Amino acid sequence: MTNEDRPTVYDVVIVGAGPSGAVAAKRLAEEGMSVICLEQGEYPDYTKLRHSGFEFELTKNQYFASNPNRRKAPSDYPINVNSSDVEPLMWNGVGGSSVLYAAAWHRLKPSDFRVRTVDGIADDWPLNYADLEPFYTRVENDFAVSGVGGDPAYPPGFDIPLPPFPLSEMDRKLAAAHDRLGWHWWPGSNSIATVKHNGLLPCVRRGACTWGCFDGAKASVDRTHWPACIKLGVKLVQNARALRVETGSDGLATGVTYVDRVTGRTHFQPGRTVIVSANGVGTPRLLLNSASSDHPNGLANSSGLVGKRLMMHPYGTVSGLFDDFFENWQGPYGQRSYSLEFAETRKDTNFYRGAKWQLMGMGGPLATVGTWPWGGNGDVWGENFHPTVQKRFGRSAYWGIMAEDLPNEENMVSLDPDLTDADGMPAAKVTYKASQNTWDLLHYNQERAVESMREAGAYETVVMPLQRETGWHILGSVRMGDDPRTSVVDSFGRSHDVPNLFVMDGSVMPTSGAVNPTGTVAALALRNSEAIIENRRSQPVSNAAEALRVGP
Amino acid sequence: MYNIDDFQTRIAWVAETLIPSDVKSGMPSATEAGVPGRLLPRALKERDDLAPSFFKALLRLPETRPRDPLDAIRALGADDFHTISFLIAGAYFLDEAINRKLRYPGQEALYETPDYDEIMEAIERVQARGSVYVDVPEGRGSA
Repeated sequence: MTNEDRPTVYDVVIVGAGPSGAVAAKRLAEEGMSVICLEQGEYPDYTKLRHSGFEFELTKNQYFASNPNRRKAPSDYPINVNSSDVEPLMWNGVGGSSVLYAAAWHRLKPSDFRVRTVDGIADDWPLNYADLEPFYTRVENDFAVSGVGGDPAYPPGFDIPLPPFPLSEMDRKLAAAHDRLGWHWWPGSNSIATVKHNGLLPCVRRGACTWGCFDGAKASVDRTHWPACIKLGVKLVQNARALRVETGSDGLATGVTYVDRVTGRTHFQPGRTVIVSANGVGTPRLLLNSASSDHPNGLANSSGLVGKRLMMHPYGTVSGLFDDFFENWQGPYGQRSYSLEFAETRKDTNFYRGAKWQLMGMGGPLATVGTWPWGGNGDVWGENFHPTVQKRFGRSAYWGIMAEDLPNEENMVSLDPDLTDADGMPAAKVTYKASQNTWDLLHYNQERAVESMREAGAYETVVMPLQRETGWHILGSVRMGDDPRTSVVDSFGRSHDVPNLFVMDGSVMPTSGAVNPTGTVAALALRNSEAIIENRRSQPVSNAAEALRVGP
Repeated sequence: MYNIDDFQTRIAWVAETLIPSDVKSGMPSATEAGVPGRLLPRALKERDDLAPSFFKALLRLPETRPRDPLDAIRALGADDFHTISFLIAGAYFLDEAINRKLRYPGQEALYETPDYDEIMEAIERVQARGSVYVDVPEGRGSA
């Protein structure tokens, strides 16, 4: 092999260009480290969203559908969900699932890091709220979080960098109701710019957040981070599907084998450190597929926990129907408001932990005869069509109820024994069953949400229990902890087994909390990156990777 | 490749069945709104990914209106029923006059600024009720 044939050995090889990969790439490159990122998809083509005309509702789920099994884009891989109550949702491309997330932004609460201590169940995290707080603050600026600081559902110090959206009539109704009930509510915090900030434009509230934001206001990392990464010299390789993380005879990671989905050719990308940021399904899939004679059960899996303890925030809704007509179709979508009144364990219930409620817009007329958030739509046709549209359009609102999911080793991601993706890599199989605690928790919160809607003036409510296609938050499948016997990575995302392999995404979360996790995932990635920078001189590196270096 | 002109008879009774007129609200039926001739071709162009399954499903229906037309469409099964009903309703709501009657302006670009006085007044009531989180000791637990 000549020097020209040798691939460049990068300081860091990152798998996945989503929020965690982007946060890590940017921070590490800022410190002068050479970084390459392998991304199985491409940049999103926002011109495919018909955001401003009456075509919006008809077309929004075509290119920007959130379920990869329905979308079936070339960058997607199949996921066997036959044994799952909930289907995982994601975007496989530059920006990762931030391209499609609603951008509701939260921190975990202090008790979310201490569930074992506080409730005697599940686990504590190997870090606490105070450890993560400074990193929350930094990423909240990078992700252009807008809203109102001072929420009493958090310790003092959760200040929001950008101004809030105006209150809408919907917000006013529910805020007044919660004031009368004595319950918490707060104006929505969203990683959506309300003023020009970090390359984003002010949101004009078209409500296309979860179908790709054409207007360039939502903080998806293809917009907030990757332009800066590229300027810093990070090499982003699109259409590069990672097949395996390789290790040398010294047990350390040497780099990543990937297939170029355009040419079909397989390449090996060496690196001194490998970071896997491929989400709670993709990351365990890659680690399990990296099994070798030295790691027969998958890489970094001496604990046997890679893929296990999957949590997906089971989600239900409560819609209210009102007599008066008010705007309920614009954005942010996103959350208009939220309530954390029932987000932690209460003494008067038969379940642990709680749920976050988010007040959401309803969409346009076509959504009134769809299934979301109404449940079935078999009876809205014929003579019921117009009465249904009249009743729902501009006269409804809904609480999205996001349940904290508790870890359970029976809920897992594994490699499907039969199904493969287009490149021959085993597909992921998701096995997931909502627990009785989840059902009890959802039931209780939905009853309270009915009270909320009634108090706000709703003459009728529609309760939609746990919905199947709601797995936006894919957590827990590569658990972090201090003990290598009961966790896969340490508190900085470093594999207990392979000390130059890091995992940075929601899969490391030991418990799920009840809120949207991107803020926590991004803060963890930043914290872990700072640790890599601080420890770079002492970072173990594989001799095999070093041997591939060209020059001094 | 399907030609919509070959399906006009079926489309007419299917569209009218799914969306009849409504005297009370003054809303027109799908055919009165122009779904078969004007709006559905637009919808099928926008959703060319659904067009083949739409026409395939139509082929499984009788050419002319059966006695129980809604039941006949439902008998196609959930997936085909969804494809047909979604495209017919999607076409119906492409019409400007329909949306005007519903007071739906589309997803507009709005440039409102927040009323801070209103927001501050509202959140002060929430803050006055006290903290809403479990305070935990900041020491590290067993992980």
